[in-house]
Amino acid sequence: MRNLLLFIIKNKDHFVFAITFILSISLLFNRDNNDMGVIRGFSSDFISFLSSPMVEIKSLAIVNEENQYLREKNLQLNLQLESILYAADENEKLRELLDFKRVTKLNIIPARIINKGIQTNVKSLTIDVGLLNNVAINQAVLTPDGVIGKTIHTGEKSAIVQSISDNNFRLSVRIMPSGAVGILRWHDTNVCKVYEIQKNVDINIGDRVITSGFSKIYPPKLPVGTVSGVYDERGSYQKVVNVNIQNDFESIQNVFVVISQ
Amino acid sequence: MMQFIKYTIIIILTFIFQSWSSEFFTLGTIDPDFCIIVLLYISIQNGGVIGTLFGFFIGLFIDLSSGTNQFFGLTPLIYTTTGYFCSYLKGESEKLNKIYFTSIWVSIVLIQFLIFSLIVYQYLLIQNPIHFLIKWLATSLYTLIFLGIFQIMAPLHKV
Repeated sequence: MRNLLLFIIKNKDHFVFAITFILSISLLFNRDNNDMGVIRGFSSDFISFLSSPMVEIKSLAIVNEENQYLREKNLQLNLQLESILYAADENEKLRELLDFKRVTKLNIIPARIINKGIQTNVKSLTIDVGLLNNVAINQAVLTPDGVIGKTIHTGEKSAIVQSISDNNFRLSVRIMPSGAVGILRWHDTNVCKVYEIQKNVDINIGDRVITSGFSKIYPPKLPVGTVSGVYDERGSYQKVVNVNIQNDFESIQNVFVVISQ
Repeated sequence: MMQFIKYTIIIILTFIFQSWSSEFFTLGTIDPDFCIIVLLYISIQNGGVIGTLFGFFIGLFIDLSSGTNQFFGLTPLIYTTTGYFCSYLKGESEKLNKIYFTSIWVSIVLIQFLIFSLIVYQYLLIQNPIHFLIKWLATSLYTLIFLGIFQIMAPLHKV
């Protein structure tokens, strides 16, 4: 027995190798064993504990990358959303214009505003139609909401429009249902004043204001706005009427030019 | 007992380093095997018992962490054998020519990777032997490159 023990101690390298070799072989052949599955299940917790810091670091690196990607994606989507909203808004406005063109009996051509306020002394708009499109000077420019000005210069492919918001712009208007006629001029943000209306005329807030038809430029019955206030001028036989203009001059993009009446 | 704790810590540290760094050093599908490098040093320095046991347990750790059931037990088998054969080089650096000494451990590493590849990539050997050869040589040589770098800092024949 002692000799056997001495033999084992003397050849412990070989014995350890033989034992571990046999153990490895048995592991290899019993890999599908249920008990082995239980051991592996227990060990996986320990292994995952050891691996967790690296997983954390990796996930942090991925989070940074992902964050950057999501920021870019967010910006792209925001831009896309803006363009979709813009397109939807434009679509709605163009539909309105199309409806107006169908209904009106005037000979009109559509135009797009390509610039605003190119001249310093005149509140003006530049539109993308000109002589080639039969646009001439002194033609009415309007939207479905009403008159917005008249052409004052024409080029071959563009024209300059004097806006209703210009101080020197005058428009002969009629207030309905009273039928009172006056001269409209710009006063303030989307508010115009109508002068030279007789004091005895009955005008109420909310009355419609349309073009009178006395002008050669503007056809009759074109919408202009609605009455928002009426007051008497002191020492005068006339009253002044405040008119709200329907058009929002900041957002107009498409207009019509009345070629002939 | 102190020896046991010492080698347990080395096993855990080697395993952590292998699992953390292999992805960093990976070249396509080829990873360096840092466990075999540590096993080589441990076996040549401490002889058969520690080398063989170290190989067995580090191999067991690797297989337990790998998650695949297909070749469970193969890594301890290979590392055990490598540790055992490398332990024969203990104290031989004085007697053997440096070139012989180096050739032996290089051969052991190459054979170890060959056996591993023969078992794991046996389908590749049948389908495309050239591809198998490339796979085996690339894996072994990539690890040998790291072993070569370690030779500059701590040569195996001086261990």
